[in-house]
Amino acid sequence: MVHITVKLNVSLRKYRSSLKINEEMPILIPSDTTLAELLEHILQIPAEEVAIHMVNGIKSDMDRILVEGDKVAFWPPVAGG
Amino acid sequence: MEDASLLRYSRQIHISGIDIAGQEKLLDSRVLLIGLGGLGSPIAMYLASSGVGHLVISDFDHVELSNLQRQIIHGTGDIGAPKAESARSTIEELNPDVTVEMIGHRLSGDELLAQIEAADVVVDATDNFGSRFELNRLCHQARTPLVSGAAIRMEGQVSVYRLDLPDSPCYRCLYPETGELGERCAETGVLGPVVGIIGTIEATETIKVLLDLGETLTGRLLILDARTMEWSVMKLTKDPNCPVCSISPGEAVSNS
Repeated sequence: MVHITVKLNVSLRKYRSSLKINEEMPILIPSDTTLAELLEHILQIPAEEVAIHMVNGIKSDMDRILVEGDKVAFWPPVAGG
Repeated sequence: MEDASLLRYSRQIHISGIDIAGQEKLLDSRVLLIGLGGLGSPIAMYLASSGVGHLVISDFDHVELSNLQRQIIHGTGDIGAPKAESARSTIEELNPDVTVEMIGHRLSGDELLAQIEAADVVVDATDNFGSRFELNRLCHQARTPLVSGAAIRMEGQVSVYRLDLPDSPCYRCLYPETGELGERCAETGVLGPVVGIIGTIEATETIKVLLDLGETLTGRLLILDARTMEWSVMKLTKDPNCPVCSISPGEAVSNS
């Protein structure tokens, strides 16, 4: 098992409404969990609502395997103007 | 430079790295701005007031009452007028030094490509992913720098894609082109000052690219959550498998 933190940003906060603004969520996940598995299976957030997947401040692919101490953040798409 | 121009631009001429030479360069620059909505309004006004000499601006819409909460280049008396005309009068009042070329229809295909090729920088102030992907693709083809921002509700994102440089990521490295991802401000709402914040950052970055000033947002996506007023920065690298920018036309020829 590995410890990570997850931050749901802006409109994605609706999926964990008990979280305070800016609160990072500590989570214990099985080893070899990918970013995609974290999102859909563990957090149960529809992938299509998330456009930006950041791990430790860097845009990351969904097949990235998460390791101890990773800081994950998700954002929805924004195209308006 | 004439005395009136020295006075008009004196506050920015004082900035290290701009000086008179930089101001003259701005006056000689040509920027293509796509969109005259919430983002495009402050972008056009700040680029014009800063003395970017040649602005080519495209928008095919008419001014509506519901636009005025955020589209500050238009006024109540402009309701019903083409946005291109209404914006022209605001810009000419702001700064008669600027030559404004308004395009009051939807630019696309070869006509859009020709305008991109003629521009020093392209500024994306559109409101949908389809237009954003097309602009990115054509800017990459023309090797023209692209400044791109977006906003909805109380959220915004902005970055710079130096498509004239080989190592820069592009907009397609950030977003996958999978169907209609986004929501529009008309459906979801947007706070006026939030598009203003993102638009003024786009204008700032445009001037920096034109003058090669400081460090732009190239390779960084700046993300705003205005509800908490928290800014995040995400490092963005070139996607080696990006269908737009991973293989340049030159490389494709030399590899064959």
